[in-house]
Amino acid sequence: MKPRHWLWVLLCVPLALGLARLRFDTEVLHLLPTQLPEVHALKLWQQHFAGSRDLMITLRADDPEIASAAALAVAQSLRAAAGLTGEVHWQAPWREHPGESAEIAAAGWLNSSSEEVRQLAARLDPERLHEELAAQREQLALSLDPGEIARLSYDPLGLLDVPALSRNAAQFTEEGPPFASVDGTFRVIHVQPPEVFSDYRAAARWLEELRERVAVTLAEEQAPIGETIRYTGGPVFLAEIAADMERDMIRSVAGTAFIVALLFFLVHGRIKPLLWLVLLLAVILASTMAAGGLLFGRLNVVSLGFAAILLGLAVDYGLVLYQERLVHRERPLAEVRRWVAPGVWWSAVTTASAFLLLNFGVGVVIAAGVMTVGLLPLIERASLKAASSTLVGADVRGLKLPDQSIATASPTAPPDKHPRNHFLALAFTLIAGGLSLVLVVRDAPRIDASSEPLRPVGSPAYAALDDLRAEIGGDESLALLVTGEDEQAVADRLRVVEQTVARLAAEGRIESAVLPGALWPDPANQQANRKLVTSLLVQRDAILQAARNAGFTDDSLRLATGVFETWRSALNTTNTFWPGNSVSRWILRELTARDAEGVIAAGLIKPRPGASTDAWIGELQSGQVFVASWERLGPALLREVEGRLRWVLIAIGGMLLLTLSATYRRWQEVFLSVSALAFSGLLLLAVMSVAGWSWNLMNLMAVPLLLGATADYSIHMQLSLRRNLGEVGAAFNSTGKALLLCAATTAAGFGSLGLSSNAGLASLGKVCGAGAICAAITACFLLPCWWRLLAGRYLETDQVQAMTTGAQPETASRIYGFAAWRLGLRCARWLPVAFARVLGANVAAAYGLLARSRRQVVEQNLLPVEGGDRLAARRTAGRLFRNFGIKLADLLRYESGRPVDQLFRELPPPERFAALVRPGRGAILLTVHLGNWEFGAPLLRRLGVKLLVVTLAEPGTGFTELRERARRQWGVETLVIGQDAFAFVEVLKRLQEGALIALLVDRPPAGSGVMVQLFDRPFAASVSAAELARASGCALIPVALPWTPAGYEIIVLPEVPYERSQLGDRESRRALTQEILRAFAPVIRQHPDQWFHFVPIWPE
Amino acid sequence: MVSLCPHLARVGRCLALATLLGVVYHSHAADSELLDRWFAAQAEIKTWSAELVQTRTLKALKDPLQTQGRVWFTMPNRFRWELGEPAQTIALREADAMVIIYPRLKRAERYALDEQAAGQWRDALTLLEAGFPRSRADLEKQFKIESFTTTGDAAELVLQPRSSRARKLIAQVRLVIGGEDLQLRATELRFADGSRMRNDFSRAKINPPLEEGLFTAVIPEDFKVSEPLAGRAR
Repeated sequence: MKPRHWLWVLLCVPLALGLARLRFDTEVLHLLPTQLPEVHALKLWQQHFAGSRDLMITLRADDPEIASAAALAVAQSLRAAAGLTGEVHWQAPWREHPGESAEIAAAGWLNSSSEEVRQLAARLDPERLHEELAAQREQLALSLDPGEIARLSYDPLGLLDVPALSRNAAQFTEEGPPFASVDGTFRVIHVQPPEVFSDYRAAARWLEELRERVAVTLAEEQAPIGETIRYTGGPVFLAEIAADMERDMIRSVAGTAFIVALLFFLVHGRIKPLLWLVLLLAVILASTMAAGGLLFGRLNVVSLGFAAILLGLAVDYGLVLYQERLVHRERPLAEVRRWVAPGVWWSAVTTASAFLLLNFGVGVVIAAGVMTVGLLPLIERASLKAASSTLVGADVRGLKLPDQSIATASPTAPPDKHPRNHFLALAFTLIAGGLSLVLVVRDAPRIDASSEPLRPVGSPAYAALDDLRAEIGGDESLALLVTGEDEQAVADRLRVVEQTVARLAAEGRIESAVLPGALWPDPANQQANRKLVTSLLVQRDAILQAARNAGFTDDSLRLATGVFETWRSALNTTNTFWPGNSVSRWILRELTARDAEGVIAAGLIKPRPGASTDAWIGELQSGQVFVASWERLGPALLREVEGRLRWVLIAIGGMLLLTLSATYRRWQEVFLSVSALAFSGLLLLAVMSVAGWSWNLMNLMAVPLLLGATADYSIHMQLSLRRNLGEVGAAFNSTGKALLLCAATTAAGFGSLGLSSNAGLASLGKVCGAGAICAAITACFLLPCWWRLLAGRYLETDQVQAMTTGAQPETASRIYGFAAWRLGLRCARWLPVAFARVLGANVAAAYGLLARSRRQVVEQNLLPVEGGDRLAARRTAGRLFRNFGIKLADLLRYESGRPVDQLFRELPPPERFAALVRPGRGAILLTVHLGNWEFGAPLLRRLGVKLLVVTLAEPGTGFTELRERARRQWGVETLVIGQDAFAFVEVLKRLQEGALIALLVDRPPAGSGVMVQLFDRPFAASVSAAELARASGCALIPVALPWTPAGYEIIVLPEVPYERSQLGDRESRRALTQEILRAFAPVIRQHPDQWFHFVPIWPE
Repeated sequence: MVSLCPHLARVGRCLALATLLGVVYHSHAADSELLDRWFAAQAEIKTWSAELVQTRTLKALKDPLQTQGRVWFTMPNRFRWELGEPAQTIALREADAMVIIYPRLKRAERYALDEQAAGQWRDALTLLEAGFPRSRADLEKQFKIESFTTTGDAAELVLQPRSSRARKLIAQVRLVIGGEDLQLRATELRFADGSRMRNDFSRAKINPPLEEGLFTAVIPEDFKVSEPLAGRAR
């Protein structure tokens, strides 16, 4: 098995690990930023309170007595069914078991402050109790409040008057919420499930069984309740919403798959390639999920939903490649992949960058997946290549294709064949753009910050909940949660909260509040009150006798007896006392909870209608105190997003411009891509405006999706236009059709979401579907026309040649020019050496990574040096770019006038060079493009030796002069050859005068080279040195200045001997040139990563 | 020879039965007529005042509680109850609210009489308004007439609240009416737990002139006034 195949096998290990680790989180709230107090509060509330555990059965009757009787019958029937339910309450538990109220009252006194208990003890002092009891009797005689009469009758000692519970005392006696409406015709039965359902199917089965029992009960009772009975609460939501989601997903996936298959078959007439594509998609999906499992361990189910987007992008890439292959079936598959690969890669980078910047967990997974997909076309000889080859190749064989391919491409942009179509496209651009702008300005889609879009559509459970809220009320209250590591911490915080709440109520900023108060166990108070309560227990008999003496019966003392018994059992334990009978449990379930981090107390605050809540919520909330409200979630998220949105958008915009620039390297096409994004976005806004859609928390996620898709389409289309030299028809046939198919499948996939039972998902599907169509219309029909106008006429010949022949660049990079060099000189003048070198190395390395074709040239050039070892050549190429950056930094420093002596490892003695020249016989310092060959000039100047540099003209205007001036400041003269026919004569004259001339030999100008052997390969070298030797008899001295960590090393090789008289024929001069190159071969082999050639140098 | 005694005895029994039935029939007819006359008389009442002794026999207490008091009433539904000498509890029904004043405690409570008046205060109104129906229809709207019997010179009307909520607190209301003068002599409320509250009226005056200010709550400034129903959520 080849090494790369083993690599794929090894990759399976982390993938398997990732999949094994992967878990799914069904809580949508976990997607939201947890640092937001609104999110944290809602999570706590949803998890521990909010009735999320209980089922609520509601029923209605015209007569309150009938409603009451029906509710009682249902409750009794459910209680009688063994194992079917936990606790069932159809009325307040203290009404059903009034005697059990004693425990909660006793607990209230234990949790009260010592001062309050002291006052109780003083009041119950048997010596003075008769006065208190006489007052109670008098009040019993005079009160007109039936509730007070009842309370005084059965609580003559006032044990229910726990100060912190007195506000809630009325709820202990009154009918009504939360079990019935005020008029009694609407009733609610609270049913606790027998277990916590983790699986929605189990919840659904339980509900089914319970519904049957209720129906039978009501039939037996012949209660005229009929259709008014409804079910709501946590288990119903779980069953209903999960079942709806499952149905939606199945319908969406099945529907999308069918539509995709149908469309593919209609366009291509085959299904087999689609099946291969599906296999690839499955691998991509599994890889992405495995990556998510490895990186995060736990993914939200919404992430899984976004996997559909990933598949959509992957489908796009596959379809584009397939369509391109169909059109260019005469080309080798590798070449077609090479054409399409940049578009796929840059599309993947763009989309991945956008998602990464969104800083959602799902974004990172999607980004990883997109990058994986983008990388696939770049992997050569991969195992998947077989599958992709099969995908694009198998069904091409023997396939009768319509004549849709371009036979040959002309090297220049062809004339506009369809001027009328372009006119129509322009007209459409103006008209549609103008209309859309008008529509959007007049009626832009609004942003709905409420949680309404997150609700299911047509949900019976939600309808029942709305009905319940309308009848029972409580919708306007906000939940207050106080958390802490233990009961004491929460108790201390509750005291502070109570003071704040009292102040807010006094100031009229809130209407009312219900807090746990003395229902919350306060260990410190319980401990402090032990002594007082013990003393009351000691006096128990005397107290009760005093009440009897005052005329109260034993019936009236049952509550008091219960309180004393509770105190007795509480004092028998040293732990914090929690009441535990049915009444206490029911009350405490609504007010207290425990989790892994500690305990939580809950209360309710009713805001003043119409008044702002932000200020007082800000006063209440702290690190451990939260206010929970779904209505506040949307605005809080939007505030959070708004704050970062500007920066995220700027970052995304910047990243987009960067990736587009790296893709196209032409501002015209970057501009066109941005314009396509803007135009398709405008079209989408216009569609939303006409359709009456609004933005909401769910469909705002369409923005990055559509940004990625539109960027993809524009990149594919423009690169296709380049490949087809602006021929719109050819580009449309090869790429446009694929993009339309992509958009159609995307629209189908998202469109099926539009039928979802969840309003948010439905809106996401509609917006994404419409957006994909707008993007496709823009990219396929309008963008080609824009491209012809703006970018098509600027095709350069070498680009045309490169596009048509697939050849690599044969000229220097466009970056190498006057402007960049001048900028570099200015920077080098001020930057420290070390910093400049680091900067130069990194920038050059980045260029090497991004400029793929240039890097390939360098690798090709290095292959013979590395003996054909591609991997070694690739590594050396990487180092070469960094070393070139260092070289440039040093060269710019030198040309800016800064001293460079300290950059040399060791300076040779001047005599070494002085001996080279003598009157009448000059010398040529021969060099290759290795190290910093330019540094020979200042070195010789320092040694008192004048040097003439012979060079070719620099590209562009002013560049040659700029460099001449730079050398001149060091006393180095420049002679530019190539354009001037008399330049050779001048060089000869100087040599005859005894000058020292520097000459590069390894990259001759056109027409001045001869073929020699270098590294066992034919190599074109400059014959100028041999020509000059024949003409002047000068010395030929090879030199090199490679860079080492210790500094530049000056390598002066032995003089190349020759017989002047034998250089008469070209072959002799070729042979001399061969000798010269042979002398350099060891130096090049020793420093291959400093042999700087960025254009192809090998003829073969 | 046939004995006449059994025959006579049988006839005598029939006669006795007929007489009894006749008496009963006559009684029912007379009672019904009395009740109608009482309702007619009620319709003539514009104002009413009386002194009262309220006796509360509670299950929680061994002995009943007795309190002296006074009551004033004016059509259509304004009243003023005072319990205790001097008044320890004053209950007033104003146009849109009921006010309870506790002079000794320097406290007053105001209860708005709108649709949202909590259930127990509707029940409290029953305590205070029972005995002052404007018409039979008015009475039967709120109560079901269980019985109306005459004993001696008084008649007793037994009523059951129609509202199931009210019945949970007040099982029965009894009105004692004078047979001759058709004056309300007593009201008795029997509570669901067996407790009773009876008001025995004396020195009743029909249509006495009453000051309007009698039914207006005058609360001293140093009294603490509360509205217990104001902050109560539905």
